[in-house]
Amino acid sequence: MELADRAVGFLLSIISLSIFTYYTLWVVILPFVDSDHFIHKYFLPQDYAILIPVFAGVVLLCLLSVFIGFVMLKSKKKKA
Amino acid sequence: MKQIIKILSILIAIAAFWIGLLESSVVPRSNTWLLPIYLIVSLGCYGLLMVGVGLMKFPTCPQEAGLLQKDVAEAKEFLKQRGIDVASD
Amino acid sequence: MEKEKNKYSIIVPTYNERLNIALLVYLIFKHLKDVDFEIIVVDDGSPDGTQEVVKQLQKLYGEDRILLRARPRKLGLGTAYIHGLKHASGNFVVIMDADLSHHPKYLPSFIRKQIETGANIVTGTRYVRGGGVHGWNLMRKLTSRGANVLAQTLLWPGVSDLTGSFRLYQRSVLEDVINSCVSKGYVFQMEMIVRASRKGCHIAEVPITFVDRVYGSSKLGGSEIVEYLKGLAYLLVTT
Repeated sequence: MELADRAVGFLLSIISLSIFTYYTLWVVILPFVDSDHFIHKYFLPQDYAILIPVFAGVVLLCLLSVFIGFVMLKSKKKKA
Repeated sequence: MKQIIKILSILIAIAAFWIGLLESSVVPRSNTWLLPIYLIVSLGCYGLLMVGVGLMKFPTCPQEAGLLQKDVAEAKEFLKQRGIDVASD
Repeated sequence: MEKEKNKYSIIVPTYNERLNIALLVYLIFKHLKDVDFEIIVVDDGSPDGTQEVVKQLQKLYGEDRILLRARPRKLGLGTAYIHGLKHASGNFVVIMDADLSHHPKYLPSFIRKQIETGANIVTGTRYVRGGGVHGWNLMRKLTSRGANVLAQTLLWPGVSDLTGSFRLYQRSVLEDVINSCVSKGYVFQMEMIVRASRKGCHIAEVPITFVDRVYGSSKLGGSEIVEYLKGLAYLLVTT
C-alpha cells in the first residue's frame, strides 16, 4: 500500500520531468539545430509545440468546469 | 497588496519582457515566440513534479496508530475506574 | 519561569464525541502536568450524551479546569471557536479536534516551541520529518498534495500545512484574526493562517502526526474539493 503510493509519486515525478525535458529540447534547443539534422526526425513540426499544450489545457479546463458544475448541481439538489 | 495583484503584476512583467524580446529581436523571433506557452508548460510540470515528490516523500506513521490504541486502552481503564461511562457504542 | 505565568485555554469543538472527549481529556491531563490550562468544550447539542460525559469529567477534574460551553445546535466550526474564545481566560489558546486525530502528547512541544521562538502562532504540520499521517489512501494523499501545491503556488503562505487545525495561538492574535474570517470547514483553517501570515504574525511549526483511527474515514468528496477551490479564489482576491 505504502510502497504503491510512493511508486505513483515516483511515476508522476518521472512523467513531469520527461515532459519538461522533451518540451525544452523541442522549443528551446531545436531551433538552433540545422533543419536537416537527423534529430528533427524525433520531433513533430514546431506548430504542434503550441497546438498540443493549448489543446491539453482546454481539455483540462473543460474537465475541471464539468466537474465543478456537476458537484454544484449535486449539492444544490441535496439542499432542495 | 492583495495576492491577486502581486500575481498579476508578475504576469505583466513577464509579458512586457516577452514583448520587448520580440520587438528588439536580439534573439531570432523563431526562438522567443513560444516563451509564454513554454512557461505555462514548465509551471504545469513543476506542479506535477511537486505533487509527485510530495507523494513520494509523504510522511506516514503506522507506529502511531498502535501507540494511540495503547493510549486509548489506558484512558478507558482509568476512566472506568473513576466511574465515567466510556462504553463504546 | 515563563511557564508559570502562561495559561493555556484548549478549545475543543465537539459533536457526538462522548467517548472521544473523555479519552481526550484524560490524555490532555496526562501530558500537561505542570502547565496551567483549561479545557473549553464547545458542544453543538450532541444527541449522544457528550455533555453528560463532560459533566462527569468536570466532577472528576474540577469545573475550573473543564468548561462546558454548549450551544443549542450545530452552528459550525468557525463560530464554535469564537464562542469558546469568549469564555477563555488564558493568554494562549489551543485549538484541536476532539476525535483524537490530534494527539495531546504534542501539546508540550507546541508550548515549548512557542516559548523558544516567541511566536504568535504555532501550527502543527503533518508534512515534515517527524510528522505524518496514518490511514490515508492514495486518493486522499493525492488530493491533499495537489491542494497543498496549489495553495503554496498561489498564496505563498510561508506555512507548510495550511489545512491542519492543531494550533496554538496567542490569544490576542486569534481574537484579531478570527473576526475577519468568513469561511467554513477546513477552508476556515487555511483562511486563519493566511490572514495571520499577511498580518505579519510570527508563525512557527512543529511536526505532528495525524491518525485516522478508522482507515480511510476522512473522506474528501467532490464538494470539499470545490469548496477548497472557492476558498483559494476567495483568499486570492481578499488577502
